[in-house]
Amino acid sequence: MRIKKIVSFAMAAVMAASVLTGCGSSETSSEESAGTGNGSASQSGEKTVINIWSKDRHDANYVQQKVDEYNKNNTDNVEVVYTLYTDNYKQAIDMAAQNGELPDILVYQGEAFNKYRLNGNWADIYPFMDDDMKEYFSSVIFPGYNEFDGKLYFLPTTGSTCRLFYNKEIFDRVGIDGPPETLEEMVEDAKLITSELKGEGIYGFAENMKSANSALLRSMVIGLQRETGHPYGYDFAAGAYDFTDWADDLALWTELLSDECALPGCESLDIDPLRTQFAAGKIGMYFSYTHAEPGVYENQFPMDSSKWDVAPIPTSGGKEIGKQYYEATSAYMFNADSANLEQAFKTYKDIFTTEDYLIGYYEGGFGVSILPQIIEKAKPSENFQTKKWLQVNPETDALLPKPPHTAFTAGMIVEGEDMYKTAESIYYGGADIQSTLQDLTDRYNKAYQDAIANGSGYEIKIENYDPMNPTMQ
Amino acid sequence: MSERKNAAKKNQIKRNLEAYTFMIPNLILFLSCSVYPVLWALKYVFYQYGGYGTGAPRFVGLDNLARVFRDKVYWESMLHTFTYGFGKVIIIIPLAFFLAFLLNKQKGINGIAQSIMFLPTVMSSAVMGLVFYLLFNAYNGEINQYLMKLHMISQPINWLGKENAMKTLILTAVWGGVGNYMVYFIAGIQQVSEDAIESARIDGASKIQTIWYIIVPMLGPILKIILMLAITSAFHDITNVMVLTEGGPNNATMVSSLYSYRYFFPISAAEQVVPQYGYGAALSVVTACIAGAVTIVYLKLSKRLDDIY
Amino acid sequence: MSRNIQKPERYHSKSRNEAISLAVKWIFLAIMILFTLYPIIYTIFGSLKTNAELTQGGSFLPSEWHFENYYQAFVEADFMKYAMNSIVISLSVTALAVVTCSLAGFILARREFAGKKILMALYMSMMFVSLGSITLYPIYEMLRGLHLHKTIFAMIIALTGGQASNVFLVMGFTKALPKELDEAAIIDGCSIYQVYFRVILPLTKPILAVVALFSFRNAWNDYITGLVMTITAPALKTLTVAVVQLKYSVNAAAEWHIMLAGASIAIIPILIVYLFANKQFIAGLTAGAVKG
Repeated sequence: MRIKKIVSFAMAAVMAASVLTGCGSSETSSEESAGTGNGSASQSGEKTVINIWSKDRHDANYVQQKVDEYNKNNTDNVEVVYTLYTDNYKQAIDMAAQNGELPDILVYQGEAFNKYRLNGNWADIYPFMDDDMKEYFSSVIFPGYNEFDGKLYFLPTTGSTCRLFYNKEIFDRVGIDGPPETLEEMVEDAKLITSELKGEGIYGFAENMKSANSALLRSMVIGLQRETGHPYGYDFAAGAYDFTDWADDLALWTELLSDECALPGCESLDIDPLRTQFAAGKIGMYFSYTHAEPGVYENQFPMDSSKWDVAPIPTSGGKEIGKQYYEATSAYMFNADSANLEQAFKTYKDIFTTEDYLIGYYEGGFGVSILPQIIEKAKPSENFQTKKWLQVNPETDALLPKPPHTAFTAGMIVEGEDMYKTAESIYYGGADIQSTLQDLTDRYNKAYQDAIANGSGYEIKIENYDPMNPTMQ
Repeated sequence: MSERKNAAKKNQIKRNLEAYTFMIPNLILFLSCSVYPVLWALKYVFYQYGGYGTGAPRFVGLDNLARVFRDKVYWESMLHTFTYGFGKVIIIIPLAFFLAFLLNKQKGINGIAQSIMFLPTVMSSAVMGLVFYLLFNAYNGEINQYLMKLHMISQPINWLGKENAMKTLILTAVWGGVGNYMVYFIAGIQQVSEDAIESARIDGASKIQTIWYIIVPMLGPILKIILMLAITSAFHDITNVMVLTEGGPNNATMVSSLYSYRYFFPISAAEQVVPQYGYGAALSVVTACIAGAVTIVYLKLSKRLDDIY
Repeated sequence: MSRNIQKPERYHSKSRNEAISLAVKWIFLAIMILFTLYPIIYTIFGSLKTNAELTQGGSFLPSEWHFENYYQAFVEADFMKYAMNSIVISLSVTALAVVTCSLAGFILARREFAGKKILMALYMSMMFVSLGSITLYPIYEMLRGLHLHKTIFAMIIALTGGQASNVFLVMGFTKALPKELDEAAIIDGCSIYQVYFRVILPLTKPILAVVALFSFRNAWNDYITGLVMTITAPALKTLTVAVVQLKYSVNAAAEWHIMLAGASIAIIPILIVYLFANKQFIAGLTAGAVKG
């Protein structure tokens, strides 16, 4: 009897499904036309649709608001569709590029930029810029970074780098008078905090170690740029990888991540839960990006600004051989195949390059402006006025050239685990530091040489490379 | 004569055509979703390919396969697959058996208890993976908070840390699977004749003796199926690992299926994976071969056991 | 053991033993039931708590019932759309699986035809060869070639898959039906189509119900296929994908109550289906296992 009921239910379901798929598919096909930048679909209605993809969560509300304003007020009959990708931005770009379905405008992402610039996917924006605009943004055009062979691909308006964020209250309670200046000191501080305040659930250090790559790229690997002068383990003067000088840092990091220092459960922590714990006053120190954290503690997980501060990433022994990278942010790339490229650029110009937008962005705490005109006019939030190290600082930060594994990402196939996972095998897996780093060096060099040999890569070597004054090529 | 032959032939063709009209809908799905991907993978085992924007696929011969055998992390992931599989079987089989033994008569409260135990089987392992992540995380997961409130622990246990992650994963797998295997056992027990049990009881056998000497041996055939399913499923479980631990920390829960997946798609937000379709294909082909070999060995062994009995 | 030594006390000890074994039985069952239900109850009650109450932990029932969490999930996190996707996709997959398996299973059971042996061998071998989730990449590529990859059909096709084991399930069931039934129908002048629709289809309903239930469950609960297929078509996301991605979303990362409300939205429909069809689920599983 029951079975009969089920079957009749299933039959009804079948019928319902056939009806529903009908409307479901028509719904998605309209969705599809909205999702592509280069179809005839954009002309189908009266409005031109410009698609913008973003990966940034910290400024999403601000950008959305500006986009909404633009949609309401623009006179070009343009409808901007702003899509936020969270965890799979790079992958979405990959798949869209493959399918010829890139949106008109995309938030800059380094890897995707490198990979598809060589492929001709990004548009040169010089032809769309008038002289005023060229003049206005002249300070953020860097040959070898956003300008190649006389072609300009994107305009950064803010900069971001990585720093140490620490809880001043916790430091005061255990009697530490300032942020650590060396990594050794940092380990001591973390130990002190954990041993004294563990009972209250307060720990000295935390990092989002769930993904080694995401964690180290905002902390150790960046500090190592200053400490060793070899960004990402690559010696630009010699034209070869050398990871062996990571040894000191890895030994200290092993301590930093031990139970003596770190928040329990760091191994499985994502960045946002970490921030909630920092906002709740449970974490003494962690590393992250300067562009994201102020906004996070103002909007996402409120925390009193006077409770936290920022300092440079401490290096082992305080060594300072080179500069650390800063990344240009709030930059947008343009799909060269977009049917509405010209309109796309105009829309971009109208939304993202107005002084109103740029000042609001800086004052809202979403990113630190690198445009002198804006820095002069804006009254940035308290955070940026009082916390000097949120700014990009020419004394420690610079644009860095790209090592082979990012310059031709897919061409260089490293056998075995990458540098981040290999580091993880040391601080969590207890692998021997010297031999593991030697092996890592060999594997990267072999992959690099193979790439050159089979034509998927090229030689990268900068004569007289000075890590304190890095040149792009 | 030839006319009759012709007619017979025509009839034969008609019969074949009819048959294929029935087969076609499924055949299309089967060829495109089952056969084609296998052929694709078998081809790309011999190529290096990073997807669009990285140049055309490059023939590399047996390089990918050779690399699989050098890949330490892959063999560790294979070891984790076995640890996971055995851990799961060793806990699930006895639990499922006792549940089945206690609940096999589908009357009143037994039926309800059976339905409850089977419930996790219909739940999405991805969604429950997320729930387990919230329950087990070290900094404010509810499990730790209960244990601390009951003063069973003073410091939070790091359930997803490197020492415990695999155990926690197995625990969640037990949660998701025990009802399933219980039902198999019930089917087996119901095939054991009541007479055999009754006569054993008349002979004065205790309950435990009845279980051990009468029921267990008669469960042979179903136990064979159950173990078979448990072994093969260990090679497939990927969703719960992906959501709960993403294979970490330090690859402690990286299982072979997830490892090959990683060369096609990144497992998580932050992961930086450059696709290596050829190598990923090689990994999954090797994994499929190992899974096949394990199955065959198991079938041979269980047959030999049959001969002994 | 007890039988030899304690013969005189047999009656007495038997009743005591029975009491003990009964107690052990119920304690064991209680623990197992608690173990099974706890995560589900946590999800559903948790979805009605405030975030603060949830992260402090320790309370079983919500101190106040916050149904607005569901409003937030449905409206602000766009779960209405994802729920609709899940419903459409799951029902379509169910329909496609039942129809195609029924047709193929019937003909494989009842007729010899050219190429059948090869097909059977192919179907059988595909049940043993399993490359796992990586097959989604070639399937996605194929659907892209057909320009279906951004439509809901891509999800439906990829999730339905080859169905080899279900075909065998239906075939086995059909084989067990007496052949005289369709022979009689053929003598009466029925075509093979009539035999299928009038004789076999009604009789195979029980096994088709099994196929339907399990297809629905698998489609509803799927995560990876949805994840991969919707990377370039986020509007097609299903509930499970959307729920897991809440972990990375702008605000919900710290808002566990919203995550749990999302999780509840994803599990409650299947719980309701289970409430009405739990016997069939259990019976179906056994049918699949014994035959397969």
